[in-house]
Amino acid sequence: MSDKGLLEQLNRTTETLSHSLTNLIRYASISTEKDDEEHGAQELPESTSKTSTGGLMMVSGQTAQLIRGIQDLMVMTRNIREKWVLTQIPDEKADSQQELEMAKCADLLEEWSKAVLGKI
Amino acid sequence: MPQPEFIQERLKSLDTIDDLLVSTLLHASQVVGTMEELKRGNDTMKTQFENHTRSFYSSLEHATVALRREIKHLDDNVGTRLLPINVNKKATGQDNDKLRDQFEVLERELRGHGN
Amino acid sequence: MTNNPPDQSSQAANHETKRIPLAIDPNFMKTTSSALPTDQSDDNDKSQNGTHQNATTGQSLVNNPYEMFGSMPLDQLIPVILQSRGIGSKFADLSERVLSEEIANDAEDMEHVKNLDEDVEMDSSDFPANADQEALKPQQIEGPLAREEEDQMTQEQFQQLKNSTVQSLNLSVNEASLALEFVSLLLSSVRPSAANASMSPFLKNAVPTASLNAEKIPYEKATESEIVDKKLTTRGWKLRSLEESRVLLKDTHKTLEASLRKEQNYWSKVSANTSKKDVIFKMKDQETGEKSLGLKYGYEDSGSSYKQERGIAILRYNANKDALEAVPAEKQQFESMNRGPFEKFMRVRIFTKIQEEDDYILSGETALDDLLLAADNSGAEQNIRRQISKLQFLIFEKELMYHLKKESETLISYGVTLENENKITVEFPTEKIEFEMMNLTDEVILNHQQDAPKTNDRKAALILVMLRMLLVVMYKKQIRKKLLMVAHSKAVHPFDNEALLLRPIMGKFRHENYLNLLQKVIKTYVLDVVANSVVTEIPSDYRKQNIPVRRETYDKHITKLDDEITLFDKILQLPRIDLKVELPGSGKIEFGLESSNYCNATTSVKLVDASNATIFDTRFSNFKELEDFLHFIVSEYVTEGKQE
Repeated sequence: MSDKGLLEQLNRTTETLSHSLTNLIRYASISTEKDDEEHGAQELPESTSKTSTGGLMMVSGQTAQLIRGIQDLMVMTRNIREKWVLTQIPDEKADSQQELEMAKCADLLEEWSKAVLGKI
Repeated sequence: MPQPEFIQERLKSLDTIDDLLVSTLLHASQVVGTMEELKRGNDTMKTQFENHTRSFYSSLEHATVALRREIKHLDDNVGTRLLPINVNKKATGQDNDKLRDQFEVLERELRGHGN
Repeated sequence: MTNNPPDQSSQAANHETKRIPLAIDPNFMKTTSSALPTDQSDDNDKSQNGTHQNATTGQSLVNNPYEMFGSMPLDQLIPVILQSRGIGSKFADLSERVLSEEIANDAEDMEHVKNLDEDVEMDSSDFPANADQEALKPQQIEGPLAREEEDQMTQEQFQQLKNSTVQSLNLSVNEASLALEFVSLLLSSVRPSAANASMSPFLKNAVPTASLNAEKIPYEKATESEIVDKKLTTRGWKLRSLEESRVLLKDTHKTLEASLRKEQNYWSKVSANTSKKDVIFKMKDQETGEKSLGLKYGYEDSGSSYKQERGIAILRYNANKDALEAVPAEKQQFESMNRGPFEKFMRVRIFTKIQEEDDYILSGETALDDLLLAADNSGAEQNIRRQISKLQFLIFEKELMYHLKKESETLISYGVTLENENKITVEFPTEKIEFEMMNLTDEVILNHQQDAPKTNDRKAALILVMLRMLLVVMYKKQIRKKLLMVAHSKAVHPFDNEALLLRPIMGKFRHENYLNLLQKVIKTYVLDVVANSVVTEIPSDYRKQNIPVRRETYDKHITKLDDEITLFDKILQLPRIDLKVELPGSGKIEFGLESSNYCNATTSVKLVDASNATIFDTRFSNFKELEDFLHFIVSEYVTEGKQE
């Protein structure tokens, strides 16, 4: 069923979304003191390329992922909407139209035959 | 002759889901905004940052849960209310409508002249 | 057997063996491959010696040497013996004499060792239980066993140490060789000869020489200011990116929200105004290019075969009126091809002939259907459904005209003319009927109320109603055909040859006229001539047109269709009427007036004389001939008879 696929896609997208925000924040880290303590190295200024890449990743990468994820989920809701409205089975019993009253119609037709010839 | 109740309900809940999704986005932007403030050294925003993050995750969670429910509804109803994928819907019954209409007109004409 | 607790087995051994010095010292049982004495017993060949491994673990001492060695095959036993005797001993040297000497020697040694062992035993308080057991064991075993314990403790460690040492050595060898490769590769660019000597053949094949180079880059320690600068840049950049990201998110949120509102509005309108019976599907809007929902309003699925128009409309949201609109898909295309306005309806007019002037005067006209009148804005919901109904009406009218035109082509000989593509005229002796497609323009709508009611309006309306109903009957027949022809692989042909719209109606009129004519003829030639002749109509039994055999297996839909179709049978049947003229004393003449295609007329005349013998039974299609014939038979047979 396409619904299993939908479910999986939903899960995947949500996962990605939740991670995106975390990653975004991570990319935004400015402080390097912690790193210095770990490695014991000292005073290596962060290279500009690292900064710029980090910044770029933040914006175009993670943010775009966030937006993309939300949009995907909204597309999914639209799909579901379409499915509901477009592919319904008309209920044969509930909405069935009034039946023609055969006898009455037969009479009417008789009358017509005479009326149209001007006999009435 | 509107769509039946069930469908309306579904559409409404899908609307809510959409709203949630959009608000998730809003919260995300708030998170980023407060984070920015924090980075500038403005520590007063800490609680706000927490709140915003919390609301981001909570709205995402609500949306996901609701969406899962909707998918389950879809699944449940495929055989009964919904058509399977490959079948096209046909508009039958139009002819009956027309016929009924015309009979009414006929009756009107015949009766309406007081014969 | 190796898992027996040392206590019991040693006791058992004890009871069995009365301190018999052993030729083979089980303590020295080791694997033949002593490279890595294993505590792990994964090798299969060591499974036999696994028992001996347990001996070295310190937990389970050698339990019952005789059992072990008794069952050991000879080819294993001998190496073990040799091993225990030390390197360089040969099996051939073993003889009884040598062994007894050794035993004698050992007995002396054991006494020395025993003292030591006792000391040891008393000192070691860690292994009280084992020590006691050992005291009971045969001396030979005892000594080495005690020593073995400590050895075993260290042996395990020893093994471990040995393992780790070997591993480290391996590692270091690998690293060293790697380093060598690296250096030689580096060197190869400058001194190829030296490099080639030191590079491994594998490397030589894998990497071309002189492909690695190294440079020494002087490391300039960054100055304070530079560091600060860079830090500032980093910070600034990150902040800027954060801001950008925030703005991006916010903007997207805004736009998404706006489009979401719009879409929700659309969906709510659609869901409020359509039912689940409507066929809605995704469609691309021709004019705006955006994807939207379309509605199918045509009769295609209900039996129509009108291909000129598709019968679908796009549901567009009109922001100005805050309402949904249903716009037919082809409207713009149609109008741009200059075929006139898209909306046309059918109008029926009856003209009565004015004898004197040989001209016609309009005596009846159909009125505009209510649907086409301007809506009185009674709510949005009515609006869209009204639009849809209107579209349905219009497409129906168009199809009606289309079929009428087709039918008229075959009726030319009966007075039907196709004046232009929008007008059909049918001529009768006293009147003329016009079927015209009118453009639905505003004037027409405004003017419709101003016409005074005329005498034949009703007749015109009746004709139009019947035309429409007959078209629906055509649809139903088509559906029925489709339902029954399931196995037919070819497409179901449209009913070109079955269009019965104008014919039955015309037939009625013409039949009536013929009937009048016939009655006049009868009156003139028979009734007036023969006295006391009476003409009566014979009620014809309702000629059952070929009703297909009604099988019980028919689907209920088919039966319903059948019922509906048979409803119209009376209208659709070929006109026929039977008259009988009683000739007093001379029998009777039976007339039958019928039509084979609704519009022609054949009169059958049957003369039956008084004795019920049929004298004549003929058919005429020409009334003149009929007149002559009647004159003939009346004058010949009837009056003559009378005269006789």
